[in-house]
Amino acid sequence: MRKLPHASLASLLIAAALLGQGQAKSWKEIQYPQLPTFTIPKPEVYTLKNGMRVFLMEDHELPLIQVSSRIRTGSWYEPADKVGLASIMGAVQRSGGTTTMPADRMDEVLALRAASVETGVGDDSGFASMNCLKGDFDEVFAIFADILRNPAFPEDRIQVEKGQVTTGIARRNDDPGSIAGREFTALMYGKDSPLAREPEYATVAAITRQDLVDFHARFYHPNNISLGVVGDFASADMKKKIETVFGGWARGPEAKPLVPSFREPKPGLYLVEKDDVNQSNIRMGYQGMKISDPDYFAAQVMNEVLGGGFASRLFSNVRSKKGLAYGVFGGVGAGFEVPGVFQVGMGTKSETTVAGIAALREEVEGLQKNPPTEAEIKRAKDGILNSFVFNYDSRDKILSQQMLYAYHGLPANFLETYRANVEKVGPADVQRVIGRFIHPERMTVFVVGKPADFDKPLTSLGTVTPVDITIPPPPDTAPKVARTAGSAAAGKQVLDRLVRTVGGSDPQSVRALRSVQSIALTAGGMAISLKQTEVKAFPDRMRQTTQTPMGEQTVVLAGDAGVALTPAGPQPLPAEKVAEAKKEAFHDLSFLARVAGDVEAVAAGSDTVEGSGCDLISVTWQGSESRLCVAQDGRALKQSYAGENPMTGTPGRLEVTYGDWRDVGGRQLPFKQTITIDGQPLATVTVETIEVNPTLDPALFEVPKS
Amino acid sequence: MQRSRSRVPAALAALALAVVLSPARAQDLASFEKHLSQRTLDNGLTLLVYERPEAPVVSFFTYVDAGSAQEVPGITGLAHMFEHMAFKGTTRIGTTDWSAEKEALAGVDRAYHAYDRERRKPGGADPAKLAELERTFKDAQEAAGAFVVKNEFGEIIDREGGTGLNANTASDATLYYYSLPANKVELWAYLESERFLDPVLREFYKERDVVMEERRLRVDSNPIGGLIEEFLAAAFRAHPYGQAGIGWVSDLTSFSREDAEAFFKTWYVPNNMTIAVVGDVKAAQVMPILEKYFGRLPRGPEPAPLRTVEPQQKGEVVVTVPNPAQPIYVEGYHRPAAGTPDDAAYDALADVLSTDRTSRLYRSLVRDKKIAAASGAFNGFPGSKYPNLMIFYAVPTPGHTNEEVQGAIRDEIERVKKDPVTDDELRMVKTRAKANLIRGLDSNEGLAGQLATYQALYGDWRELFRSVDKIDKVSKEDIQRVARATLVPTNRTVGMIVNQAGQ
Repeated sequence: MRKLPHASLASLLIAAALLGQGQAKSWKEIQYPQLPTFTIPKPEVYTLKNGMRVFLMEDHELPLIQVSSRIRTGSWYEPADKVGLASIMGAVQRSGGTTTMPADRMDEVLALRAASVETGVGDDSGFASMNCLKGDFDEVFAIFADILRNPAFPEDRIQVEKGQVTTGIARRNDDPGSIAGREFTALMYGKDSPLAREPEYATVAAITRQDLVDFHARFYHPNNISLGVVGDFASADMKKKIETVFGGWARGPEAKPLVPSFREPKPGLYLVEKDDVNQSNIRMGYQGMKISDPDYFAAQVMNEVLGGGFASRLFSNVRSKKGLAYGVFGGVGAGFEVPGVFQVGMGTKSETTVAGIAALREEVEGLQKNPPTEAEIKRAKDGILNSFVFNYDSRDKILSQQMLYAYHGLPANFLETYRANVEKVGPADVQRVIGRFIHPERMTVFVVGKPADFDKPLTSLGTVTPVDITIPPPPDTAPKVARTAGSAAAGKQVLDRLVRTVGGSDPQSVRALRSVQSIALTAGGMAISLKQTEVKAFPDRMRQTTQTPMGEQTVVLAGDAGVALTPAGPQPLPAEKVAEAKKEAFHDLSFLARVAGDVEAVAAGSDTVEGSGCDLISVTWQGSESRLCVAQDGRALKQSYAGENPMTGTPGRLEVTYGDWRDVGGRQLPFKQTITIDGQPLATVTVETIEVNPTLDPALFEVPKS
Repeated sequence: MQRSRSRVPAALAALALAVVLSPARAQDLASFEKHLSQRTLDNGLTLLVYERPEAPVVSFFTYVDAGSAQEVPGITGLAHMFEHMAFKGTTRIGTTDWSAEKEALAGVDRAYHAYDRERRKPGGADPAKLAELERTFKDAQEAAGAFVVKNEFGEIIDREGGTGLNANTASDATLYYYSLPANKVELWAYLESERFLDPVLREFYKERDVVMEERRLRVDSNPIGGLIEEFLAAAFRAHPYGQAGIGWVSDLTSFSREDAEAFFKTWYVPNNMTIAVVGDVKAAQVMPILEKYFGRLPRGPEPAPLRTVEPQQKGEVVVTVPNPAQPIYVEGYHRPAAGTPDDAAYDALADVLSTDRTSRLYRSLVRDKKIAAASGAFNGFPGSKYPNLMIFYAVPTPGHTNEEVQGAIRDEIERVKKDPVTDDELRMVKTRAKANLIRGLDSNEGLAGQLATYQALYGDWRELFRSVDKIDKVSKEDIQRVARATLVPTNRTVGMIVNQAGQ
């Protein structure tokens, strides 16, 4: 019983009576007044003589002016070996300043006015925009035009921008959700499709300043550009300004709209193993529809029923009723020039992964088995139609829509047609859409997660294809070595010399090594000292225990399995880490000596290391390559290979200088290594002891189940 | 506006032809005030209505002055959990038969406590008994679930044309917001008052599972979320800002429906709430509707203010999180709560260091040294109602380390302590503040949020304008003074992700 302000009976009665008046007992009783009359503002549209399309929309609410433009270009147009070119060009177009106003000065001039000019290139169009206080318009508009026409693309800013892209590459496997989105798109269209492809270190490295200049020159012409202005100005005035600034810009070659290539998905079950998560990301689907499809409107209604809002089937059943997900979504996607994707997706704990897949499948099949009822369809339509006014709730929103529709060849009244068409949608239309676009049997099922914790093995649903998301390393900066009969013979001779020195008379007799060493990590201006004991049982078992400032860490590798033993318990190593470690083993000189019979060696000239001459060879074994400089006495003075920075995981070229060679049971082995990565100091390894063929307890190499 | 007797069907809410031009609106306080009406009801609820007839839509924002900082160990995550519950309906919304459902829900409570007691029995639960109690608990939930009209509250809003329906639990406050076509203000008033007058915490235990998934998404399987959780716990030893906003797992899997109800009764009192309505409305017409519906909320006792103040940090704290992800670096310095006379100086300091390509951190770490893809500084973390942190962060580029970006950040900190900022830098700060204010006026949702927040945090929505005046008065000496006082090693907490493959 709620306490009322006054305790007396009379006032209780009065209060009760008052409460009874005026409020609706149910939301259904509320009466809505007419929506106020409202005319959708429309931009004025015209074309300059040079082909630039202009959209003007006055808005006198605030003393601001915004300019936005669209350019016919996009990453769809870039060559496959230079993925990333368009977006780098788009970024440096602004960040690099122009030939008349260098970058730093431009940044300051704009910041002093709290104005902004920004540029970018997306997949199917480019953008340039500006935002300023009304009083600053002339000056900022001049800068905007300059950026559009005369970007300087200085080398320094290109490097900064390349760093942005490579940072993205290095981090693209850190978040399971973004792995899911990206890899699922690749499954839907094919990895090489412009719709799915990603920049790689190699493609970014291949991009030159001239590429940026050429890309800009190819597309940035007035006849490929539409310009929109919204804000506090008078149209007659603005037209004059636009003519003054852009009227003299000559036409250029017309860019044609491009339909990117793609292939059909291959239905199946795909998995990315990611063992540091406790939640799986699930995506299921196939290709969807185009916006031009006459059933687009009925599909929007079906999408509302399936996945739009609180009352949708996915939200109500998979989230609220079953409690399986926080994020769950789905629907038939539609593209302008290409088909979208039909997908359903969710995040669910590892232990309900297979149950989650079943729940999503149930909803997709449910559209066929229990078609949307009249009530569901009405609710979906009401939701779309009642909220329709929000499509027009600001002038800059209306302006962007008009520019978007014009760009894609849709009529200016597209939204009005949309509303009228949704109004007409009935159960038969929704039924037809389900027939045409709902095909649960065709779904590609994709999971990013930790299989060890799944409720059931994924294989219980069918054959699983693992997806390798290892980030391809940067291109090897070392020049390729030509292999001829002569260089192969010379290379073999040098290799044999090395093998005799480090392997002794019988390299195969080295079955195991135990070494104790201290490592001084010197990267980034800081120094960390580690002590390490490493036991290697050739060919493929290793146990490495390292004392770090954070405690003891042990890594065990045995064949294809690997585990890190941490204070938190054993953590299995993902397959790609084990593979990486196996490749890394090849760089060990004793290992190289053991497998020398299967190694391809090619002579690569000669070099001098700390005053001593040596012969260069390139050695390759099972796809792993390194370069060695071997002195006359068979000692390897230097070794270089493509590897990883152990602290950051980022790829780089490692170079090891060997020193302090000592005899160990008839073999010469180095007791000191000085290591750099891409020329920067990385670490110094000082070996204290090496034991050849120590007695080993096989338990050292057991990989415990976590 | 015509009042019609019957509800207008959606399809006939047609767009007519009369043109309405709104007069240019000024952006100074005096002009703004002319279109803003404010009222505090007898029950303590503060209402703000701002007329903005740009389009026939209206946005609503409810600010409840209670967030995760109001939690204590044992109920961490409860403020956020209640926020989820606020969408589950009332005795009138979301049920086919309240009196039957009420009994069923009491049954769920009983079954849960019996199961929970056995689960926690010292010496361990009896497995057979636990399994049976769990079955009973599940059956009780199913029985109660039979009366539920799924998500009716949200469904009504969706169907009636609502957009942007959402809510958010921060450390300082819990926020509820959405927008509707302008002729449905009464619907919002009905729904929003009902949900805080008479909420039913149905499907509580199922929704706990949903919140656990949210935790997995944002923290457990998210490297940055995981880092922030560790970082905050290290930075705040005493004050609840150090608690996990989404809740520690042990609490999240333990708290009960009654706990959530108790939280609601303490904190969701109208005297602890502020509401803003912005859009195509006339205050004279709308205020009486608001009073009618929200006047029903009974005033409650003033909730006790948080008494714990984070004591001064005496030594630097560093937390290092090994993770397969790429490195991330963050450091935080303790600073006073919002409302301190130095608020403007702190904002100016962060601005000079961090905003856009002219900022010191961008120019040093991104442009020149190229050791970071992004680097910045900001105030008010994780909230600003209580003494909080000024944060510096950097995202290293490939091959570069936390130590490098740390060194560069420290260099910029020393620079700003040693020498005053330049005239241009100061001018940029002030111009930006004025321009941002103007830009913030162009959105109903944005304005509603800002008005309610400033009103609740500072006691006066006018602070939205006054804070810009205060920034205008900031001097170089002020900036240097707060930098020197705050950005010192003993006042610092450092957090970083260290890339460690296979961990």
